[in-house]
Amino acid sequence: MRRKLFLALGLMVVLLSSSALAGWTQPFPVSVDLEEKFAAGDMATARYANGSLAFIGCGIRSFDDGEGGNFSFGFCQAGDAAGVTAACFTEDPDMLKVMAATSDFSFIFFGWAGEGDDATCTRVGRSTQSFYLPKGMKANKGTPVDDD
Amino acid sequence: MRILWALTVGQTLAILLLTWTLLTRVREPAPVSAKPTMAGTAVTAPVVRPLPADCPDAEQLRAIIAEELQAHADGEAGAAEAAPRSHAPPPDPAQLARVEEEIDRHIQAGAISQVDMMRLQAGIARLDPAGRKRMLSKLIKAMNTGRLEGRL
Repeated sequence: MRRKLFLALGLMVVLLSSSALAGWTQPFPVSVDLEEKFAAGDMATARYANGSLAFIGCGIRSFDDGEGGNFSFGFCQAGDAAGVTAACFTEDPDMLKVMAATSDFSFIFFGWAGEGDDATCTRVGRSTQSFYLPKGMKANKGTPVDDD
Repeated sequence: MRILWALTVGQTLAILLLTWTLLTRVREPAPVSAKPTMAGTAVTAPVVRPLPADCPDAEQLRAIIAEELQAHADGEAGAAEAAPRSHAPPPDPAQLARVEEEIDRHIQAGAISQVDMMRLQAGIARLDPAGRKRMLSKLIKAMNTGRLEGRL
């Protein structure tokens, strides 16, 4: 009986200490709302969701327009676990900056107009924070200082 | 930038005008007679020094200003030519029809590959701004409504 109690206590200590070391996490699974014309989610949760179709991301394309100039546009797209997808595009310089700033572990949200055949983005956001990082990444260690 | 240039030119003109005015005054010597002041003291007239031989006269100053203005105008014209063209291609109904047909073909097939998506986007880039917006919207709307499976 006493042995089982010690084992249980030991297990609790291990679990609590590991969760404390892991830091705060706030996974945001991809959500696509076609009614509200809005999608959001974080990249790590989407990428490592087992057996899921989820994805989310933004990108920028730039093409030669055939007249000596360029045409650039940005886009965001997402798909939830059930496979419902959404995307939007923009030429707005401010939105392009947000899209260009997405990184590996960003949280992303975007909305689109959706009136008639309009699929232009009406809002775009992203944030990159520790609580969106996936499990299994190693903590930073202090750089060893050479005494010489 | 234009405002800055305008201010620079304006300032230069003002300085030149002031210089010219001062030079003109110096060449017209004031009467040397001393005038009594309210305090009863006499004010001495300014000392008139002869102008240096190489000092430009009014006509020369005008020529210099005209030359500077011309050089500035030429510089602006050159900069405008060197700047990248900002206007988009003109409307081309045939190109628009080709792109729309391509999108319709993919919608009928129900899917578009990454390679075809890039090709399609390159075609859209060659449209006029209104055409680009229409075709990108058509493409993305088809994806959002599940009629076309593909990724941007």
